[in-house]
Amino acid sequence: MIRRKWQPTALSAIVSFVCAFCWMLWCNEAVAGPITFNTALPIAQGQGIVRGQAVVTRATGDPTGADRSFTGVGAESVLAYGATRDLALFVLLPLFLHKSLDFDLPDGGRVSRGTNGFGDVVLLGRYTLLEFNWPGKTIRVAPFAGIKMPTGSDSRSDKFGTIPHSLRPGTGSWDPLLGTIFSWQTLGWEFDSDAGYRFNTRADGFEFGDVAFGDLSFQYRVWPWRLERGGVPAFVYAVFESNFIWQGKDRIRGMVDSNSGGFTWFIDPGLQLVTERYVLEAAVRLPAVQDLNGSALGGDFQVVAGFRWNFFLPYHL
Amino acid sequence: MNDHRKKRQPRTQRRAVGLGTVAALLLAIGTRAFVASTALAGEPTANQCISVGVDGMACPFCAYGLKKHLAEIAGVKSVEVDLAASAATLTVSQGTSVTEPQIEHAVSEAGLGAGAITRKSARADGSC
Repeated sequence: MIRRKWQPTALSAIVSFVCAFCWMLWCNEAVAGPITFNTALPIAQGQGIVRGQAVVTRATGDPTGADRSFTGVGAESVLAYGATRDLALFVLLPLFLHKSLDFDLPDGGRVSRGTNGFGDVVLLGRYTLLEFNWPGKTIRVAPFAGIKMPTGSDSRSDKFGTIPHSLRPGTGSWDPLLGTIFSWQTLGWEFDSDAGYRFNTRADGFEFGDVAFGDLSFQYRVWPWRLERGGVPAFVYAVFESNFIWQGKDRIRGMVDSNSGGFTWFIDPGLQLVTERYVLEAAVRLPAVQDLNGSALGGDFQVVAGFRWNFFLPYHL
Repeated sequence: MNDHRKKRQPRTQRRAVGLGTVAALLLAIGTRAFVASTALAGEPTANQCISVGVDGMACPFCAYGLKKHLAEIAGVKSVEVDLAASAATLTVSQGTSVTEPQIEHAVSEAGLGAGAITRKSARADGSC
Protein backbone atom coordinates (compact mmCIF):
# COMPACT_ATOMS: atom_id res chain seq x y z
CA MET A 1 0.00 0.00 0.00
CA ILE A 2 2.75 2.37 0.90
CA ARG A 3 4.51 1.79 -2.38
CA ARG A 4 1.37 2.23 -4.39
CA LYS A 5 0.70 5.56 -2.75
CA TRP A 6 4.26 6.67 -3.06
CA GLN A 7 5.18 5.46 -6.52
CA PRO A 8 2.93 7.63 -8.68
CA THR A 9 4.42 10.73 -7.17
CA ALA A 10 7.95 10.03 -6.01
CA LEU A 11 9.06 7.57 -8.64
CA SER A 12 7.93 9.68 -11.52
CA ALA A 13 8.52 13.03 -9.93
CA ILE A 14 12.23 12.69 -9.33
CA VAL A 15 12.98 11.03 -12.63
CA SER A 16 13.66 14.15 -14.61
CA PHE A 17 15.90 15.62 -11.98
CA VAL A 18 17.84 12.45 -11.28
CA CYS A 19 18.28 11.77 -14.96
CA ALA A 20 19.57 15.26 -15.50
CA PHE A 21 21.99 14.65 -12.65
CA CYS A 22 23.14 11.39 -14.19
CA TRP A 23 23.46 12.99 -17.59
CA MET A 24 25.71 15.66 -16.16
CA LEU A 25 27.96 12.92 -14.86
CA TRP A 26 27.96 11.05 -18.12
CA CYS A 27 28.63 13.91 -20.48
CA ASN A 28 31.65 15.46 -18.82
CA GLU A 29 34.91 15.17 -20.68
CA ALA A 30 38.43 15.61 -19.53
CA VAL A 31 40.01 18.29 -21.65
CA ALA A 32 40.71 21.71 -20.20
CA GLY A 33 37.74 23.92 -20.88
CA PRO A 34 34.28 23.89 -19.39
CA ILE A 35 33.70 22.39 -15.99
CA THR A 36 30.30 20.86 -16.61
CA PHE A 37 30.39 19.70 -20.23
CA ASN A 38 32.47 18.86 -23.28
CA THR A 39 35.07 20.85 -25.13
CA ALA A 40 36.59 20.51 -28.57
CA LEU A 41 40.11 21.37 -27.47
CA PRO A 42 42.95 19.12 -28.64
CA ILE A 43 44.17 16.00 -26.92
CA ALA A 44 47.57 15.21 -28.42
CA GLN A 45 48.10 11.82 -29.99
CA GLY A 46 49.33 9.50 -27.25
CA GLN A 47 48.27 11.89 -24.52
CA GLY A 48 46.17 10.64 -21.65
CA ILE A 49 44.09 12.63 -19.23
CA VAL A 50 42.61 11.41 -15.97
CA ARG A 51 39.79 13.35 -14.48
CA GLY A 52 38.11 12.99 -11.12
CA GLN A 53 35.09 15.01 -10.19
CA ALA A 54 32.90 15.06 -7.10
CA VAL A 55 29.27 16.07 -7.52
CA VAL A 56 26.87 16.88 -4.70
CA THR A 57 23.22 17.42 -5.57
CA ARG A 58 20.35 18.57 -3.42
CA ALA A 59 16.71 18.87 -4.45
CA THR A 60 13.83 19.90 -2.22
CA GLY A 61 10.82 22.16 -2.69
CA ASP A 62 8.33 19.37 -3.15
CA PRO A 63 5.06 20.63 -4.68
CA THR A 64 3.21 17.71 -3.08
CA GLY A 65 2.63 17.24 0.62
CA ALA A 66 5.18 14.44 0.95
CA ASP A 67 8.10 16.86 1.64
CA ARG A 68 10.36 14.88 -0.66
CA SER A 69 14.06 15.67 -0.76
CA PHE A 70 16.71 14.17 -2.98
CA THR A 71 20.39 13.98 -2.05
CA GLY A 72 23.05 12.75 -4.43
CA VAL A 73 26.76 12.42 -3.76
CA GLY A 74 28.69 11.11 -6.70
CA ALA A 75 32.16 10.86 -8.13
CA GLU A 76 33.06 10.53 -11.75
CA SER A 77 36.24 9.09 -13.19
CA VAL A 78 37.16 9.83 -16.78
CA LEU A 79 40.02 8.44 -18.81
CA ALA A 80 40.66 10.26 -22.07
CA TYR A 81 43.14 9.16 -24.71
CA GLY A 82 44.28 10.79 -27.92
CA ALA A 83 44.13 7.88 -30.39
CA THR A 84 45.11 10.13 -33.29
CA ARG A 85 45.58 13.88 -33.59
CA ASP A 86 41.85 14.23 -34.34
CA LEU A 87 40.23 11.28 -32.61
CA ALA A 88 39.93 11.21 -28.84
CA LEU A 89 38.39 8.33 -26.90
CA PHE A 90 36.77 8.64 -23.51
CA VAL A 91 35.71 6.16 -20.85
CA LEU A 92 33.44 7.60 -18.20
CA LEU A 93 32.63 5.77 -15.00
CA PRO A 94 30.22 7.35 -12.51
CA LEU A 95 30.19 6.25 -8.90
CA PHE A 96 27.17 7.02 -6.79
CA LEU A 97 28.32 7.15 -3.20
CA HIS A 98 24.92 8.14 -1.97
CA LYS A 99 21.70 8.56 -3.89
CA SER A 100 18.60 8.82 -1.76
CA LEU A 101 15.08 10.15 -1.61
CA ASP A 102 13.49 11.07 1.72
CA PHE A 103 9.75 11.59 2.04
CA ASP A 104 6.91 11.66 4.55
CA LEU A 105 4.47 8.82 4.84
CA PRO A 106 0.75 9.48 5.10
CA ASP A 107 0.79 8.18 8.69
CA GLY A 108 3.40 10.73 9.76
CA GLY A 109 6.59 8.70 9.54
CA ARG A 110 9.56 9.63 7.33
CA VAL A 111 11.26 7.19 5.00
CA SER A 112 14.58 7.25 3.20
CA ARG A 113 15.14 5.10 0.14
CA GLY A 114 18.37 5.00 -1.76
CA THR A 115 21.27 3.14 -3.26
CA ASN A 116 24.92 3.48 -4.10
CA GLY A 117 27.42 1.84 -6.40
CA PHE A 118 28.98 2.21 -9.81
CA GLY A 119 26.77 3.59 -12.54
CA ASP A 120 26.68 2.88 -16.23
CA VAL A 121 29.94 3.21 -18.16
CA VAL A 122 29.89 5.54 -21.14
CA LEU A 123 32.21 5.09 -24.12
CA LEU A 124 32.61 8.21 -26.20
CA GLY A 125 34.52 9.13 -29.34
CA ARG A 126 35.17 12.71 -30.42
CA TYR A 127 36.49 13.64 -33.84
CA THR A 128 37.85 17.09 -34.69
CA LEU A 129 36.12 17.83 -37.97
CA LEU A 130 37.09 21.47 -38.43
CA GLU A 131 39.91 23.49 -36.95
CA PHE A 132 41.24 26.96 -37.58
CA ASN A 133 44.49 27.79 -35.81
CA TRP A 134 46.32 31.07 -35.30
CA PRO A 135 49.05 32.04 -32.85
CA GLY A 136 47.42 31.98 -29.43
CA LYS A 137 43.94 31.10 -30.63
CA THR A 138 41.96 28.23 -32.11
CA ILE A 139 38.44 27.50 -33.32
CA ARG A 140 37.32 23.89 -33.46
CA VAL A 141 34.23 21.89 -34.26
CA ALA A 142 34.12 18.30 -33.08
CA PRO A 143 31.16 15.92 -33.34
CA PHE A 144 30.99 13.15 -30.79
CA ALA A 145 29.11 9.89 -30.48
CA GLY A 146 28.99 7.23 -27.86
CA ILE A 147 26.98 4.70 -25.98
CA LYS A 148 25.98 4.26 -22.38
CA MET A 149 26.33 0.63 -21.42
CA PRO A 150 24.24 -1.11 -18.74
CA THR A 151 27.12 -1.85 -16.38
CA GLY A 152 25.57 -0.37 -13.25
CA SER A 153 23.20 -2.33 -11.05
CA ASP A 154 19.58 -1.87 -12.09
CA SER A 155 17.89 -4.30 -9.75
CA ARG A 156 18.05 -3.07 -6.19
CA SER A 157 15.49 -3.43 -3.43
CA ASP A 158 14.99 -2.41 0.17
CA LYS A 159 12.45 -3.22 2.87
CA PHE A 160 9.78 -1.37 0.90
CA GLY A 161 10.39 -3.42 -2.21
CA THR A 162 12.10 -2.70 -5.50
CA ILE A 163 14.01 0.58 -5.64
CA PRO A 164 12.52 2.97 -8.22
CA HIS A 165 14.39 3.05 -11.52
CA SER A 166 15.54 6.61 -11.09
CA LEU A 167 17.31 5.83 -7.81
CA ARG A 168 19.22 2.83 -9.11
CA PRO A 169 22.90 3.25 -10.04
CA GLY A 170 22.33 1.76 -13.50
CA THR A 171 19.54 1.93 -16.02
CA GLY A 172 19.87 -1.50 -17.60
CA SER A 173 19.62 -0.06 -21.08
CA TRP A 174 22.00 0.59 -23.98
CA ASP A 175 21.60 4.26 -24.82
CA PRO A 176 23.35 5.82 -27.83
CA LEU A 177 24.15 9.51 -27.78
CA LEU A 178 25.54 11.98 -30.26
CA GLY A 179 26.22 15.67 -30.54
CA THR A 180 28.69 18.28 -31.56
CA ILE A 181 30.95 20.75 -29.82
CA PHE A 182 32.15 24.19 -30.83
CA SER A 183 35.17 25.73 -29.06
CA TRP A 184 36.80 29.11 -29.58
CA GLN A 185 39.82 29.68 -27.40
CA THR A 186 42.30 32.51 -27.10
CA LEU A 187 45.00 33.16 -24.52
CA GLY A 188 42.68 35.60 -22.73
CA TRP A 189 39.32 33.82 -22.88
CA GLU A 190 37.54 30.73 -24.08
CA PHE A 191 34.05 30.07 -25.35
CA ASP A 192 32.60 26.58 -25.66
CA SER A 193 29.22 25.29 -26.61
CA ASP A 194 27.70 21.94 -27.35
CA ALA A 195 24.40 20.37 -28.30
CA GLY A 196 23.42 16.75 -28.31
CA TYR A 197 20.81 14.09 -27.89
CA ARG A 198 20.66 10.80 -26.05
CA PHE A 199 18.27 8.11 -27.20
CA ASN A 200 17.18 6.21 -24.12
CA THR A 201 16.04 2.69 -24.78
CA ARG A 202 13.83 0.30 -22.86
CA ALA A 203 15.02 -2.16 -20.25
CA ASP A 204 12.75 -4.42 -18.21
CA GLY A 205 9.65 -2.59 -19.40
CA PHE A 206 10.91 0.82 -18.34
CA GLU A 207 12.19 3.52 -20.66
CA PHE A 208 13.57 6.86 -19.53
CA GLY A 209 12.61 9.79 -21.71
CA ASP A 210 15.16 10.87 -24.30
CA VAL A 211 17.45 13.74 -23.35
CA ALA A 212 18.30 16.78 -25.46
CA PHE A 213 20.89 19.18 -24.13
CA GLY A 214 22.73 22.37 -24.97
CA ASP A 215 25.52 24.04 -23.02
CA LEU A 216 27.42 27.32 -23.10
CA SER A 217 30.62 28.24 -21.29
CA PHE A 218 32.66 31.41 -21.09
CA GLN A 219 35.99 31.43 -19.30
CA TYR A 220 37.97 34.60 -18.72
CA ARG A 221 41.60 34.64 -17.59
CA VAL A 222 41.81 36.66 -14.39
CA TRP A 223 45.37 35.72 -13.46
CA PRO A 224 47.98 36.52 -14.64
CA TRP A 225 46.31 39.73 -15.72
CA ARG A 226 49.13 40.48 -18.18
CA LEU A 227 50.70 37.56 -19.96
CA GLU A 228 54.48 37.90 -20.03
CA ARG A 229 56.73 36.11 -22.47
CA GLY A 230 58.61 33.02 -21.41
CA GLY A 231 57.48 29.61 -20.24
CA VAL A 232 54.05 28.23 -19.55
CA PRO A 233 52.46 30.08 -16.61
CA ALA A 234 49.44 28.80 -14.72
CA PHE A 235 46.13 30.47 -15.54
CA VAL A 236 43.17 31.19 -13.28
CA TYR A 237 39.88 31.47 -15.14
CA ALA A 238 36.61 32.91 -13.91
CA VAL A 239 34.01 30.60 -15.40
CA PHE A 240 30.38 31.14 -16.24
CA GLU A 241 28.44 28.25 -17.70
CA SER A 242 24.87 27.57 -18.63
CA ASN A 243 23.16 24.23 -19.29
CA PHE A 244 19.84 23.54 -20.97
CA ILE A 245 18.38 20.08 -20.47
CA TRP A 246 15.13 18.81 -21.86
CA GLN A 247 13.93 15.33 -21.08
CA GLY A 248 10.97 13.50 -22.55
CA LYS A 249 8.46 11.60 -20.50
CA ASP A 250 9.24 8.11 -19.28
CA ARG A 251 7.35 5.06 -20.34
CA ILE A 252 6.42 2.32 -17.88
CA ARG A 253 5.38 -0.82 -19.76
CA GLY A 254 4.39 1.34 -22.71
CA MET A 255 2.39 3.86 -20.66
CA VAL A 256 3.53 7.48 -20.60
CA ASP A 257 4.33 8.82 -17.15
CA SER A 258 2.96 12.36 -17.09
CA ASN A 259 4.91 13.23 -13.95
CA SER A 260 8.29 12.83 -15.59
CA GLY A 261 10.51 14.87 -17.88
CA GLY A 262 10.58 18.58 -18.47
CA PHE A 263 12.97 21.43 -19.06
CA THR A 264 15.71 22.78 -16.80
CA TRP A 265 18.10 25.66 -17.32
CA PHE A 266 21.12 25.86 -15.02
CA ILE A 267 23.58 28.70 -14.56
CA ASP A 268 26.98 27.76 -13.15
CA PRO A 269 29.52 30.26 -11.82
CA GLY A 270 32.90 28.65 -11.21
CA LEU A 271 36.65 28.98 -10.91
CA GLN A 272 39.42 27.06 -12.63
CA LEU A 273 43.19 26.79 -12.09
CA VAL A 274 44.91 25.49 -15.22
CA THR A 275 48.58 24.51 -15.29
CA GLU A 276 50.58 22.51 -17.79
CA ARG A 277 50.06 19.23 -15.93
CA TYR A 278 46.86 19.60 -13.96
CA VAL A 279 43.60 21.47 -13.60
CA LEU A 280 41.70 22.21 -10.40
CA GLU A 281 38.14 23.41 -10.77
CA ALA A 282 34.88 24.00 -8.96
CA ALA A 283 31.45 25.30 -9.92
CA VAL A 284 28.01 25.64 -8.42
CA ARG A 285 25.03 24.77 -10.60
CA LEU A 286 21.95 26.77 -9.83
CA PRO A 287 18.61 26.15 -11.53
CA ALA A 288 17.42 29.33 -13.26
CA VAL A 289 14.33 27.81 -14.87
CA GLN A 290 12.64 24.53 -14.04
CA ASP A 291 9.62 23.67 -16.09
CA LEU A 292 9.05 20.10 -15.04
CA ASN A 293 6.06 17.98 -15.87
CA GLY A 294 3.49 17.13 -13.25
CA SER A 295 4.77 16.93 -9.69
CA ALA A 296 8.42 16.39 -10.57
CA LEU A 297 10.88 17.48 -7.91
CA GLY A 298 12.99 20.51 -8.82
CA GLY A 299 16.65 20.91 -7.95
CA ASP A 300 18.12 23.33 -5.40
CA PHE A 301 21.79 23.31 -6.29
CA GLN A 302 24.66 21.14 -7.40
CA VAL A 303 28.32 21.51 -6.43
CA VAL A 304 30.95 20.21 -8.83
CA ALA A 305 34.63 20.06 -7.88
CA GLY A 306 37.46 18.11 -9.41
CA PHE A 307 40.85 17.78 -10.97
CA ARG A 308 42.42 16.69 -14.25
CA TRP A 309 45.89 15.30 -14.71
CA ASN A 310 47.88 15.09 -17.90
CA PHE A 311 50.19 12.20 -18.80
CA PHE A 312 51.85 10.91 -21.92
CA LEU A 313 52.20 7.36 -23.12
CA PRO A 314 55.65 6.73 -24.60
CA TYR A 315 54.29 4.14 -27.02
CA HIS A 316 51.30 5.26 -29.00
CA LEU A 317 49.62 4.80 -32.36
CA MET B 1 127.13 39.53 10.81
CA ASN B 2 128.28 39.85 7.20
CA ASP B 3 128.40 36.10 6.85
CA HIS B 4 124.89 35.89 8.21
CA ARG B 5 123.56 38.49 5.67
CA LYS B 6 125.37 36.63 2.86
CA LYS B 7 123.58 33.43 3.88
CA ARG B 8 120.09 35.12 3.92
CA GLN B 9 120.41 36.92 0.56
CA PRO B 10 120.26 33.79 -1.58
CA ARG B 11 117.19 32.61 0.34
CA THR B 12 115.35 35.91 -0.41
CA GLN B 13 116.41 35.71 -3.99
CA ARG B 14 115.18 32.16 -4.27
CA ARG B 15 111.84 33.21 -2.75
CA ALA B 16 111.53 36.07 -5.22
CA VAL B 17 112.40 33.76 -8.08
CA GLY B 18 109.80 31.28 -6.86
CA LEU B 19 107.08 33.90 -6.54
CA GLY B 20 107.98 35.27 -9.94
CA THR B 21 107.73 31.81 -11.46
CA VAL B 22 104.32 31.15 -9.92
CA ALA B 23 103.09 34.55 -11.08
CA ALA B 24 104.40 33.90 -14.56
CA LEU B 25 102.69 30.50 -14.63
CA LEU B 26 99.39 31.96 -13.43
CA LEU B 27 99.65 34.72 -16.00
CA ALA B 28 100.41 32.22 -18.72
CA ILE B 29 97.53 29.95 -17.73
CA GLY B 30 95.17 32.92 -17.47
CA THR B 31 96.25 34.21 -20.83
CA ARG B 32 95.80 30.82 -22.44
CA ALA B 33 92.38 30.45 -20.85
CA PHE B 34 91.37 33.89 -22.05
CA VAL B 35 92.61 33.17 -25.55
CA ALA B 36 90.90 29.80 -25.53
CA SER B 37 87.58 31.24 -24.38
CA THR B 38 87.80 33.99 -26.94
CA ALA B 39 88.46 31.41 -29.61
CA LEU B 40 85.50 29.25 -28.42
CA ALA B 41 83.13 32.16 -28.67
CA GLY B 42 83.81 32.45 -32.32
CA GLU B 43 83.56 28.74 -33.09
CA PRO B 44 80.41 26.64 -33.61
CA THR B 45 79.01 25.52 -30.25
CA ALA B 46 77.90 22.04 -29.26
CA ASN B 47 74.21 22.78 -29.70
CA GLN B 48 71.93 24.47 -32.17
CA CYS B 49 68.56 26.06 -31.51
CA ILE B 50 65.42 25.65 -33.56
CA SER B 51 62.48 27.92 -32.93
CA VAL B 52 59.05 26.94 -34.23
CA GLY B 53 55.90 29.04 -34.21
CA VAL B 54 52.85 27.13 -32.96
CA ASP B 55 49.30 27.92 -34.03
CA GLY B 56 46.30 26.93 -31.94
CA MET B 57 48.03 26.68 -28.56
CA ALA B 58 45.89 28.80 -26.28
CA CYS B 59 46.10 27.36 -22.77
CA PRO B 60 48.72 25.90 -20.41
CA PHE B 61 47.10 22.45 -20.49
CA CYS B 62 47.56 22.27 -24.27
CA ALA B 63 51.32 22.88 -24.08
CA TYR B 64 52.14 19.54 -22.47
CA GLY B 65 51.37 17.35 -25.48
CA LEU B 66 53.35 19.65 -27.75
CA LYS B 67 56.39 19.52 -25.49
CA LYS B 68 56.29 15.72 -25.34
CA HIS B 69 55.95 15.24 -29.09
CA LEU B 70 58.78 17.64 -29.89
CA ALA B 71 61.00 15.95 -27.30
CA GLU B 72 60.46 12.61 -29.04
CA ILE B 73 62.36 13.78 -32.14
CA ALA B 74 65.79 12.12 -32.24
CA GLY B 75 68.55 14.56 -31.33
CA VAL B 76 66.34 17.00 -29.43
CA LYS B 77 67.93 17.58 -26.03
CA SER B 78 65.30 19.87 -24.54
CA VAL B 79 62.15 21.77 -25.42
CA GLU B 80 61.02 25.10 -24.04
CA VAL B 81 57.50 26.36 -24.75
CA ASP B 82 56.68 30.06 -24.65
CA LEU B 83 52.91 30.28 -24.41
CA ALA B 84 52.68 34.05 -24.79
CA ALA B 85 54.89 34.00 -27.89
CA SER B 86 53.07 30.96 -29.31
CA ALA B 87 56.42 29.31 -29.95
CA ALA B 88 58.61 26.41 -28.91
CA THR B 89 62.40 26.30 -28.87
CA LEU B 90 64.28 23.06 -29.39
CA THR B 91 67.84 22.56 -28.24
CA VAL B 92 69.41 20.11 -30.68
CA SER B 93 72.78 18.36 -30.47
CA GLN B 94 75.32 19.58 -33.02
CA GLY B 95 75.66 17.14 -35.85
CA THR B 96 72.11 15.87 -35.46
CA SER B 97 69.80 16.48 -38.35
CA VAL B 98 66.33 17.61 -37.31
CA THR B 99 64.30 18.42 -40.38
CA GLU B 100 61.37 20.77 -40.81
CA PRO B 101 58.94 17.94 -41.75
CA GLN B 102 59.90 16.17 -38.52
CA ILE B 103 59.05 19.27 -36.51
CA GLU B 104 55.83 19.92 -38.42
CA HIS B 105 54.76 16.31 -37.92
CA ALA B 106 55.40 16.49 -34.18
CA VAL B 107 53.42 19.73 -33.85
CA SER B 108 50.59 18.19 -35.87
CA GLU B 109 50.50 15.09 -33.65
CA ALA B 110 49.97 17.44 -30.73
CA GLY B 111 46.81 18.63 -32.47
CA LEU B 112 48.34 22.01 -33.33
CA GLY B 113 49.70 23.79 -36.39
CA ALA B 114 53.35 24.57 -37.12
CA GLY B 115 54.33 28.12 -38.10
CA ALA B 116 57.68 29.58 -39.09
CA ILE B 117 60.79 27.53 -38.26
CA THR B 118 64.09 29.33 -37.68
CA ARG B 119 67.53 28.06 -36.72
CA LYS B 120 70.39 29.68 -34.85
CA SER B 121 73.49 28.68 -32.91
CA ALA B 122 73.29 28.19 -29.18
CA ARG B 123 74.98 30.52 -26.69
CA ALA B 124 78.45 29.78 -25.36
CA ASP B 125 76.96 27.86 -22.46
CA GLY B 126 74.98 25.69 -24.88
CA SER B 127 71.59 27.18 -24.04
CA CYS B 128 69.13 28.78 -26.43
